[in-house]
Amino acid sequence: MTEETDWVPQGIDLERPSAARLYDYLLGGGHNFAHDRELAERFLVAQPNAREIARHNRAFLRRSVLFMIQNGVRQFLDLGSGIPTVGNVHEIAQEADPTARVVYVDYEEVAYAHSALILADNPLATIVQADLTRPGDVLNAPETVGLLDFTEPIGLLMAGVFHFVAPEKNPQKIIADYRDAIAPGSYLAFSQFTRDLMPAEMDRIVEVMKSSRDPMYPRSRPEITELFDGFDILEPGIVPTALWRPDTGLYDGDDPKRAGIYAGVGRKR
Amino acid sequence: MQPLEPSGDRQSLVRGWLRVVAATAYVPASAADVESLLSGLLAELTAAVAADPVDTARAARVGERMVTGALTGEATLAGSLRVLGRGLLDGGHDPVAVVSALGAVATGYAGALRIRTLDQQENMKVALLTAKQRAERDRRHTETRFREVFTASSIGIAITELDGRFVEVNPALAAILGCPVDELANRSLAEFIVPDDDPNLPGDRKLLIRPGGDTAWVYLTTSLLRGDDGQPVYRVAMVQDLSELQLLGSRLSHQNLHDALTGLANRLHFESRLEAVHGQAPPGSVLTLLCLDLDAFSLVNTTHGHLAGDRLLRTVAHRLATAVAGHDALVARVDGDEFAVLIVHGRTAPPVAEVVELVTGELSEPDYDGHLGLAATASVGVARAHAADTSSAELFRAADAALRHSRETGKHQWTEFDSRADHRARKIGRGATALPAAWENGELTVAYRPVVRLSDNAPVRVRALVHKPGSESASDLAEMTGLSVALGPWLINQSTENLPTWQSLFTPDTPVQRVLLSPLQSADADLSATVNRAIATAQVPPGLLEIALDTPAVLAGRGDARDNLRTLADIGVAAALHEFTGGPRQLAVAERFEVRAVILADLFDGWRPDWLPADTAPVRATRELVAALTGMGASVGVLGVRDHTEARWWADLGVQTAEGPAFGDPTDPDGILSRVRSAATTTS
Repeated sequence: MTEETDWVPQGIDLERPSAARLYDYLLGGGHNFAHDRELAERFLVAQPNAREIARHNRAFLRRSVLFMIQNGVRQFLDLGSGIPTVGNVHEIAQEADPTARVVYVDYEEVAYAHSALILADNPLATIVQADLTRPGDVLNAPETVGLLDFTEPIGLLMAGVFHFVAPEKNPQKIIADYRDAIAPGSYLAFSQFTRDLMPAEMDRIVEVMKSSRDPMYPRSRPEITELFDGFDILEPGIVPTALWRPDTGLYDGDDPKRAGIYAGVGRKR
Repeated sequence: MQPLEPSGDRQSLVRGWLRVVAATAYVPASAADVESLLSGLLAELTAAVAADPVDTARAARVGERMVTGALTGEATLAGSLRVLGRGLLDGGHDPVAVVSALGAVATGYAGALRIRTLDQQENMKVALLTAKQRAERDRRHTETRFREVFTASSIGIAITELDGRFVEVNPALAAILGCPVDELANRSLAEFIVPDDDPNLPGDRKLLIRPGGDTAWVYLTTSLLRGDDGQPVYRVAMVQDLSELQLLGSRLSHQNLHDALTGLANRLHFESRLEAVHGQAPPGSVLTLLCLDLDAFSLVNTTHGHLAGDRLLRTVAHRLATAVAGHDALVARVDGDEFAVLIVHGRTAPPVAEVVELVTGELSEPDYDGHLGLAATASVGVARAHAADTSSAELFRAADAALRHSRETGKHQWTEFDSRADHRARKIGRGATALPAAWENGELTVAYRPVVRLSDNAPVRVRALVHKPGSESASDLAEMTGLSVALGPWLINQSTENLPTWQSLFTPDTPVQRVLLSPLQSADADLSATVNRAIATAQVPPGLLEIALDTPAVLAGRGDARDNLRTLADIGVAAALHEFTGGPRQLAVAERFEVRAVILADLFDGWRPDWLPADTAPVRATRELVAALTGMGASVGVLGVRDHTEARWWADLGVQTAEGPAFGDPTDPDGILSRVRSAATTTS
């Protein structure tokens, strides 16, 4: 008889590009390797607007964090946080309130190592190396338990990451597990790629990302709405990132639908 | 990009720049903050252009601050320079100065961006190094764990190429294959496996053939090892030696069925073999079963130590096995120092005595270990039966019963099973074992039997005794189980309650109640305390009570028997001896302890003494005995007097008191009262 074995240890794989380093490159960062940049160039061919999309998504993250701060949230769980770049959640939150606490979660080795390096001197922010699709691992990690108070509202951040979660992994259940762990009055900030806005480009992106270690699964607005089960979706609803409570004055006049990503914020009932 | 609005107005120039930034870069700050940053930068740049000569260093710092302010989108610099150039020119600045200043901005920007990128790469390198070290450490741990499992496993493990050639083999597999690890290079597992064409074999069970040619059954399990890309790279084969499992299994079963010390079958095994032999023996064949118990084995153990004891047991086992070699026989060690030998004969069997001699003949030869020569003698019980006549369990039980009987007879004896003796023994055994339960259930009572003065056959006291309805001799049975130690105090306590009754009934200056104590009760260290308490509770003079101790127990100095005899006299109780058979030693004891009464044992072994010729030696001796006892001041009594003829005989001999069927069986106090009163009426 023959059976599968998966105990071969996984090392660091720099040959295969990662979404975290691709994102960093699109945002103008230097934390990436030739293979990541090569993928990024192909990504840009598939979706010439990729840099704007990354920028808008990053801006949405910032606005949603500030929105939660204004609503009294002082602790954040940033799932799929990626490589620290400009405007990290702890910088945004702690600039608003130095006592704000942030737990980052990423399973990619370099993102983890880099975050750990940057956060080494910050007692109120930490990183857990875990797979966000295994809520138990994340929620029971000593870092999480040590820093977050689950009886108080928590800002759950899933910005530009859920399009990496395959439908087979039961996304509904994953979010439900996090939702059940956090107190009522907690918030979920969520954004992910969709075919609704730019279908042709999206299809090309999906194709490009198949060669990375992070293939992509775009979702429609109804599918995204379903993921907010148990949350009241706040105004303005599930919208292109640029349209979610934009900063007046910085609107760049571009067609917001070219964001390619839907975003929304919900409040746990 | 936005078309450039021609404007010399500073405020509108800042707004235009802001639009470029917003469209090209992600700046983690509010619009107002960004606008004030840009406004400051523009002021710096304007000052640099206006200076003469152009302050390029100041302009370069504007470029640097664009980088630190995150105005670093792909198109941010180009867009910014375009807006700023147009604005400055429109503002009337010298075109050469403007070009020169913007060039300096670009230079400053490029330099800062380079440094930022280098910093990020440096960070990246450190992060990468850390991550690699972590991964390396994890991998090492995994590998160490794997190594440990790999080398220590008793299951054979091989990592093979996909075509089956060995890449790595663990020591267990080399042992299973019967081939050193280094000789397995470039060979494959398939070379060792006999191709199975038997479709009934389970798929993972294989026959393995070793280089020497011998074979072994194994369980074979294989799995695929995949590389990082998910493609199969190696196979892992796990091989479990079934013959070793089977070996272990049979060793366990051997341990279950055999005695580890002697290697003989144990009781469990013997019983099942006996049953099998019994069931399979040809009709009419005779079975002889011997149970042997080593004499004084515990003495060997305590004197010479357990090693010597063990050696003796092994020697006996060996000699028994040798003795019956060549016969259809089975030898077993059925208990610590008990052995059993079963011999199956044909239709005719040699006499039992011959079989016993055959089996035990060699046992008593001393076995020398250094200076110490130990010889074993054994008590033997023998049972013989036709296979058809009895069950195997019955045969074993019979031999065991005969052994017990043999042990009672003495050492180095053999006894053949006697069914009548066995029946008696079993009945007594049943009664004895039932007694404790009867006592627990309150079925035992105290009964009284009259004791008469032989001169006129008038009742003078009662004997209290333990009575179980329907059973003859509760106290004898109690003695067999040790229950009598508990029964003694109970009997004394219960009976003394009636002392006032007997006191008023009989002559109060002599004992009015007698209790005969068994050997165990006589030796009981708590006896005098018990008696003291009972008398105090009943509030009667101690002299009303006659307590007779067992003569052999006193003679042997068993337990506290002698102290008890002395202390009872000190208390004021009438101390007596019973089971008295005579002889100088017993008489000496009676004299020394100045006993008040002596109750004779059954001196004539169940025979009626009054039927014996008066000049026979036993009769004469008894007469002498009674005279001797009377001479030292002891009152002599007898038990079990059958009728008045016998009573007169004893009276003629000089005996003072008697009890027995002639004077009434045990009864309750009311029975005694009515009997004594009617006797008084008759005599008066």
